[in-house]
Amino acid sequence: MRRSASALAGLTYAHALSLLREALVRRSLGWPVALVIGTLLAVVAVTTVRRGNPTVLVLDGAPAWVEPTLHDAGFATVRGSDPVGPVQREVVLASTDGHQLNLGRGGPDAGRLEIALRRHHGSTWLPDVEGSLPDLRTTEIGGRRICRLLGGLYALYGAVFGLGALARDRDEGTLDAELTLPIGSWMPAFARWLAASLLLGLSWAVAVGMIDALLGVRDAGAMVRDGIGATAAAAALGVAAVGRAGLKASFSGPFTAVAAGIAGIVAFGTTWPGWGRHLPIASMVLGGDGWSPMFVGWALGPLAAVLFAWRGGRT
Amino acid sequence: MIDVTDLHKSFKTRERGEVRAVAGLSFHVRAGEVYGLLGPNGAGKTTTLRILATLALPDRGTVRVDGRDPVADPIGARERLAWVPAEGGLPPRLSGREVVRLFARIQGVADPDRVADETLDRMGATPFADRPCGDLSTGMKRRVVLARALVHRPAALLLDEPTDGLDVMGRRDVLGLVRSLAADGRAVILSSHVMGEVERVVDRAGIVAGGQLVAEGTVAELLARTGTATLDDAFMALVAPP
Repeated sequence: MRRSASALAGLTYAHALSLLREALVRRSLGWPVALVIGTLLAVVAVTTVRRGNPTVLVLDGAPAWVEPTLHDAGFATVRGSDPVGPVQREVVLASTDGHQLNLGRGGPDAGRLEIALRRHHGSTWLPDVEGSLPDLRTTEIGGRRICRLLGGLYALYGAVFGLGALARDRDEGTLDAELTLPIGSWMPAFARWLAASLLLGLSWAVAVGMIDALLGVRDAGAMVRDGIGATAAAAALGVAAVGRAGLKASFSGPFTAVAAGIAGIVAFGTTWPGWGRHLPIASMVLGGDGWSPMFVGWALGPLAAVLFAWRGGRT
Repeated sequence: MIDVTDLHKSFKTRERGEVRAVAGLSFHVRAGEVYGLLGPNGAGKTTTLRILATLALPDRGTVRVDGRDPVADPIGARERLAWVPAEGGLPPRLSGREVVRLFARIQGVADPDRVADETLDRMGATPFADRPCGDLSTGMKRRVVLARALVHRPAALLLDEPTDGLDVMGRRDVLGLVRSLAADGRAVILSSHVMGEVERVVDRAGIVAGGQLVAEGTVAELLARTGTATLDDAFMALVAPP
């Protein structure tokens, strides 16, 4: 038992290391995270550039109250005599003599400026410049949609990892070398599934976390669990389907079977949503608390490895 | 040490229907002996080795590796044998040292890292042991594969076409290593379709064709029986008589 556990840990570590050293896998796992980080940086850059200059030009001869009032409202001020030129060149946000306001463009800062001046004059109305930040509920739904799309890609990765790792290693003889070790014939397949599921699950959790940080994802925890279950289940389908196929021979058959299996699970789940919420992959579309699909997805791994040993271990 | 008795194995293929890969093969390999399993491509050599290595199941017949039955007790047999496939079977992104250490741990070797390093050294693989296996030449890979196979000191060694893809120097190196492995008391089966290169290494050889043993004996016996000067000619006389 101890020897089996140690062998499983060793093989899983070796396969995870092998995957991480593969440039294509690194890129595949890294790009969703890179995409989110890139988006975040782009948003910061764009808002910084487009924020405009909150400096106001106070025209020569303006009353003494103008500058303190604007400072109190959070604006910087400069003195000048040309009310139009600096505004058109966007050197300043606006120019004013305390009564008249020359604005280049609108926006929340322009609104706040108008409010500051109107307040001083005791105006009976003020513009509404609270702005309308997007409703969090709306962005959370958007975030969830993005996660679903990304989750579909991750499920595909899972299937390719499960199928491809075994088929390629069979061609290269690596699988046979492991199958002659004094361990169960299921273990080499299980270790590959475990390594792929752990790496994909971890990468998925990071990706959802970052989308949640940017946009918000409604029930992000459930989305993480759904994705972890989906990738594990898809990898398990790959392991179960590969049989004796290698990359060079008979690969298209198992790949088609896995693709059909994934489509079948989604179709079944959407037809019977009560069941579908508990099925990995289908639950990504249907939603739910994510716990049962995650457990089902991870329970499929050992079953797939046993099936692999039965179908493809010794012939 | 290694016993094969009346071994049969067939495969079903879509193109050719049922193919008899091994048809009643029997031979025995003693400890400290290098046995050449020689024959053309498709003779049944690899299938026989795969059955001994617990990778395939026979249809009929019995096999024993150091007293263990690879069919009924695959784990017990795997503890006593090492399989060196023709493809090598090294993960391209792991280093030779990582691979050999991993196999040492899984084989339950005491002080696995030290033993793995010593075995790599004995196989002359230390200078390139930390490079990814995918970057190694065929000859270097063979040395790492042999180190991986020997790290648990197996009683039986199964080598499938170990000189495939090697240049003259590489072939000589590997065959020299094979000879030294038998000197340690191991039973070694070496399969090859290149007769000439193994005749200096094997103690005895079995000529296989069509899944059956056509002839068996020392190289001298086979030459005397066929009245030929080389194993190549002996093989041709036995397998493809004029």
